[in-house]
Amino acid sequence: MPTIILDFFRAVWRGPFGPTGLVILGICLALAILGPAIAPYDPVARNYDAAGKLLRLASPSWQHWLGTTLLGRDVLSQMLVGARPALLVGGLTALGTVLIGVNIGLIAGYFGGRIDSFLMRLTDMFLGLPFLPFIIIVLSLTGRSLTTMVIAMTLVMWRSTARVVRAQVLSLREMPFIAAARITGASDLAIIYREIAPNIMPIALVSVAFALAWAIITEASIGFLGFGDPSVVSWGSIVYDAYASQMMYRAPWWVIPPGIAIMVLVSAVYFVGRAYEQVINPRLRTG
Amino acid sequence: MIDVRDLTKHYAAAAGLRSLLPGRGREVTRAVEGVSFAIGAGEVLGLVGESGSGKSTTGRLLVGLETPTSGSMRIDGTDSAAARARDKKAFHRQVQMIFQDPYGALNPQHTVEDLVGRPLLYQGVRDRAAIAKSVRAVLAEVGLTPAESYLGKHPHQLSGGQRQRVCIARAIILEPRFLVADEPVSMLDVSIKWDIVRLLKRLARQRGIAMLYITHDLATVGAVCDRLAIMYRGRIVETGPVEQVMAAPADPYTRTLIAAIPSADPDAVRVRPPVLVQGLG
Repeated sequence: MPTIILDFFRAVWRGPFGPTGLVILGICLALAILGPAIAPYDPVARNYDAAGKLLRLASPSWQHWLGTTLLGRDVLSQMLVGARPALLVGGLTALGTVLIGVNIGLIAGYFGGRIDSFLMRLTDMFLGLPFLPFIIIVLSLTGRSLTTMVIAMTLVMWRSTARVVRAQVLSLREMPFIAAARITGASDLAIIYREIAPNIMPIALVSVAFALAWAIITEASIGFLGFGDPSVVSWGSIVYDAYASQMMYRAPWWVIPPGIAIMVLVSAVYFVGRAYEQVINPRLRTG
Repeated sequence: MIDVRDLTKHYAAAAGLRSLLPGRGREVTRAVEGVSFAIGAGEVLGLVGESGSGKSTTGRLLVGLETPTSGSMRIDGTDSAAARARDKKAFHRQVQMIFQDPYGALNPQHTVEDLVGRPLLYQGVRDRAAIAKSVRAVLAEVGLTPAESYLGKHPHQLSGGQRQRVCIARAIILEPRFLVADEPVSMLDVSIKWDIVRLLKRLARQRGIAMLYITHDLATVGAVCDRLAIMYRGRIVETGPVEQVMAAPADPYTRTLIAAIPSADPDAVRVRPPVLVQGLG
């Protein structure tokens, strides 16, 4: 396993895009960890000027680098604090997606027959769920929290990973090295997790990257649509507040930073995913 | 010690519309049809035949990768189907196989140390130090020396011959009584073919392993086999000591096979017998 992680970094480090993505991801990760600690103001506190007047939509200044919102809140502090939910929801969803998708794909592909039919029909059922409406309905029914968001998103995202992994397992299980393991007395579980699983790790890592990107976008979309956890400041909810106050034109400093942050983070994740995909998939190497 | 009796494997052919016609049963492909032979400890039996003759299926039946339609195999008098039902792991300790394709037979993600040690792990050995010691010993035995320099390598860093040696090390680490070698050198360069063939023969002799050497290449059988069994369309048509079969083939199909061996001597007078056999068509 550690060799695979090492290979991952070695593979991504080639070419201009992989390292760029990794550096940006590293910065975002640092913000997610340190953000609340280095934020100059409380992100939801109202700020007043020297005269005691509320700083409504103040443009960027030395006191408030990215200006303030309609309610006089510091945008920079909101940005710093808002990195954590994006990466937390994205990371946990990607992890859940890959754990469920990879295991279902492994089991369906390896055992075949009825188990495969059952699991694939289940996957088809989940493929029928509309992505955003499903998450919004789950959030409305069970209360808005980051946990429900992660669970709802995982439920609609594992399906494609499961299909990709299953297809890979179908070809791997016919390899002579699987027969070789079987005749040494290896159990089905040993064959699945010790012989087949290491070979689908590259595909699993690619699907982690794309699930991460997709989950970050979705978290922002949910926040923007106003269905996010109301007690959590995230990049998506900052855009939502700006949009709902109809002050986007008067206060571009309010809406541009979170928009750019989401875009940069997601493209960084895609850069890393694509760089790795190109290494593991020779057919993409020329393209 | 290895006694195979009437081994038979039929595959159900895909049921077409014709099978619905009255008077037609489900058609079967008779891959192996009543094959019997015996191999003693340290003896190498060559199973020779063309593609599709059922020789590889015979091998896969014997190691338990496929289930025979009927027939039996006894190892030292014990019925292996019963032994396998009783204790699967113990059966697999006795019977091992070397595959034709040394590229596909090694998991590309594993190192040589993993590849060779895994059989012990799968057999339930948990003592890492003991596994490491056995791995080094068998690597040395198959000629991968110094063993330390190979332990951390992945299959793609090895040559075809080295890969096949790793496969052989993996097959003998469980100290099997019976080894099926399914065309072990057909994908290797001519220059290393003979080294591998001699290694197999030496291992059979030294370890007292009964070996079934499956091949379509009559040119190498002389170097490794003690006896030959010629297989044609699922049946064994002729058996006997190598020299006897090669010098005085009794079966017309065997004569065709032997006549097809290329000769390096342009002046050798070759009498090609008429082709008497009909292909599988």
